[in-house]
Amino acid sequence: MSAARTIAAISAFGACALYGAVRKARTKGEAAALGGITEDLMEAERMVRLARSPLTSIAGELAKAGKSQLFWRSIHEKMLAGSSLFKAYSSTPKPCMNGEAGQVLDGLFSSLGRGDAETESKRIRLAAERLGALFSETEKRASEKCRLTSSLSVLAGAAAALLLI
Amino acid sequence: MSGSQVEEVRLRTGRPAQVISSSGEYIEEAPPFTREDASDLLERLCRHSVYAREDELRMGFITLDGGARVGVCGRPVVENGRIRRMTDVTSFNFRLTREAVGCAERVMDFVLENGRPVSTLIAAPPAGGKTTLLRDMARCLSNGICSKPFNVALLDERGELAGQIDGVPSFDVGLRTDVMEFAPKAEAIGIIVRTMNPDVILTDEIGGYGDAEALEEAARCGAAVIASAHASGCDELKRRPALQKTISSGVFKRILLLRRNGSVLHISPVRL
Repeated sequence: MSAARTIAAISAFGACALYGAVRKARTKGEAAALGGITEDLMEAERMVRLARSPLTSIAGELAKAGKSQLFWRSIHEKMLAGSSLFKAYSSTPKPCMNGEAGQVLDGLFSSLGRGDAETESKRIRLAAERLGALFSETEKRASEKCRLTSSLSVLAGAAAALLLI
Repeated sequence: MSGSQVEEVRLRTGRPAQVISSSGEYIEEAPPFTREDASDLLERLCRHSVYAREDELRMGFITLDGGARVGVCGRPVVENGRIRRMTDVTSFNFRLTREAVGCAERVMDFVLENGRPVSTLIAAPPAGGKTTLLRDMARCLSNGICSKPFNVALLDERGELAGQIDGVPSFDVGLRTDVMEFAPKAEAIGIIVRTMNPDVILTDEIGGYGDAEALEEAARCGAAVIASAHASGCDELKRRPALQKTISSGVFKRILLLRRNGSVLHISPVRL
């Protein structure tokens, strides 16, 4: 067996394993983003219900100590410059999420801040609960997907290496 | 009409804006103020968090940074006979706050007796200059202008006397002035007397029975009280039962009646 074949086999195995690891990290990242924003929304709900903190202050607090700090920092800066929450949210890069989770966030941010404390707290709580449920589903799917991706990528890499050898 | 003369701007849905100055009023020839405008304006005034200003809205106003007060009117939600919150705000009254440093100096002799302040009631019709005078009295008493300096407690229920931004007064209310903001007067008086030991307490727009009892308690604790009330004269003061009770109890030793003629403020002192 020539050295070139060995190198090619190792490279093929490495590439497949790397692809698997990247897919795994991305899937885990989506779940983590969803979990982070859910926790932040639960904290925001507490701040509205218990302290009636204005949205600017809530965004400021979450920018400092939240799970999705970049997201909240951008919103906070835009609100300090005079934007409404929706305008600030619309022009902020969203955490890594799409589909139903994205729709839940869009719906929440489109009209938050116009109602009374009870209504707003209820709306945030409902959105957080929905995102929490989506997070659990995503996490479950992600762990299955990760296991499958890891196994498949290792198997594919091994197969490619065998073929090349 | 120059900007410096404007005292109030009133916006009502479906109608053009009304601008009131010391020299008269003026109706804007602009498109009427719409419901969408009202909703948008309320959101902006509340800094996009209407729920955070619920307590103020329930009492019919929003105080802006710097002490300017915006009166609001709409459809309140009533529960058990009490207003729980204000919805559908349709009218706004922007009252532009003005600081008149020195305006109280001419009345300080009247509110001092043997070098110490005596409890005084300032009475004037709405927009009669009560808040402006009260604010400057706080400055004079606190900074020792016309007398020795005193520890002053300023009960600022609507946040317009001191106009604090991040805890720092926007107006000169004096070096020795403690400000308690957005607290119901009756409760705040009790707290401030017990905790801050003020020589004099200043507060705006008294009128309820709870206020009367708290003022009497403060007077018993040895603090002078300088307060303002809506009334155009002594007769009108006596027709308001809670104020009549406070006056009869002997809390106030002096009354200052204010009357405005354009930008000129007339002050008539009355000794009780």
